[in-house]
Amino acid sequence: MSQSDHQPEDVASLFKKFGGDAQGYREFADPDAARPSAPVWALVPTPTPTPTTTSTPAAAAGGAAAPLPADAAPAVQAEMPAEVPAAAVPFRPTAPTSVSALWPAPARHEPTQIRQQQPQQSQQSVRPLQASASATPVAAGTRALDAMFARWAGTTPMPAASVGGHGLLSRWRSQG
Amino acid sequence: MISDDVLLQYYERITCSPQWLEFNRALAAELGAGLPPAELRALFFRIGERVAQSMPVPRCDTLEQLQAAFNARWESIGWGFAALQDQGEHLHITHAYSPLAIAFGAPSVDDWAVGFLEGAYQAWFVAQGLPSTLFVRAMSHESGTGPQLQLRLSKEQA
Repeated sequence: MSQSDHQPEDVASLFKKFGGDAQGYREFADPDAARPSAPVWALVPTPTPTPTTTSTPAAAAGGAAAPLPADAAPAVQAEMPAEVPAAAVPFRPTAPTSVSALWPAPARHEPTQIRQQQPQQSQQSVRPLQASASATPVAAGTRALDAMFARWAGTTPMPAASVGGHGLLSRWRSQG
Repeated sequence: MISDDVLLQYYERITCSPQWLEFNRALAAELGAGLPPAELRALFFRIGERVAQSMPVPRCDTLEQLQAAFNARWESIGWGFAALQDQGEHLHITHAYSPLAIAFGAPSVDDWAVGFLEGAYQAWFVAQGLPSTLFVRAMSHESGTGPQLQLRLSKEQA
């Protein structure tokens, strides 16, 4: 008899003591074990430990090209330490004057002209937004946009003229 | 009269900062090598959704107001402008002068980067009460990417 076999009795006695329905009792489960892993973007194909990685005799024996993810990662890791120090050596601090040369002249941008033009452009483009925001609120379903959505979705019929020439009397025609 | 070539050259020069151009091109190349175009398009769709949600558009009554609201957002980040045309059974969206082609390369736009605009417009339309049966999808570009991208809001799902 395992401990889990006694658990329902323990639970039943506890519920009997404190009240309640022992039938609704559920054990806590490890959330990681219960759920599949969250979907992630596999931007870089990560090699998974599959039997192919353990079947080294075939790959080690020889010339056959192994799958890319399995072989590429160790090769990169092996090369990186050799190259990084060499690339890090040539760093030499340059004179501070070169830094100031990179950030020279705020006068070049002629801020006066930009300041005169930009507000006008932004006001023009934002004006419809302010107008719509300050307009009286429109109930859902009554705006022109909602009618368009319904028409594009096919939930409302096209205007009679564009449906195909049935005309205003189509209702009676279809009955006859 | 300014020729189209001059306008395009100006657009190519200013539309993506040199600080990020090579990085973006390398990122596009790496993404293209690591993921199929369909997944990249879905990824950029989600990025577009996030950007649109970070720049919400107020509730609009008409298509003209919506276009103005879109363009105010695009202008604020230097992403060109859009024109909306009601075509009866669907909405045609023309987006001009987005930096996608310059930042990621023209082939990337056709293959997957246009998913950004699909996601952005979809999110904005959904916030306006778009029915769940309507989708924004880019149309195939007959004349190459160019400075204009054509999209459609309709029932057709890619």
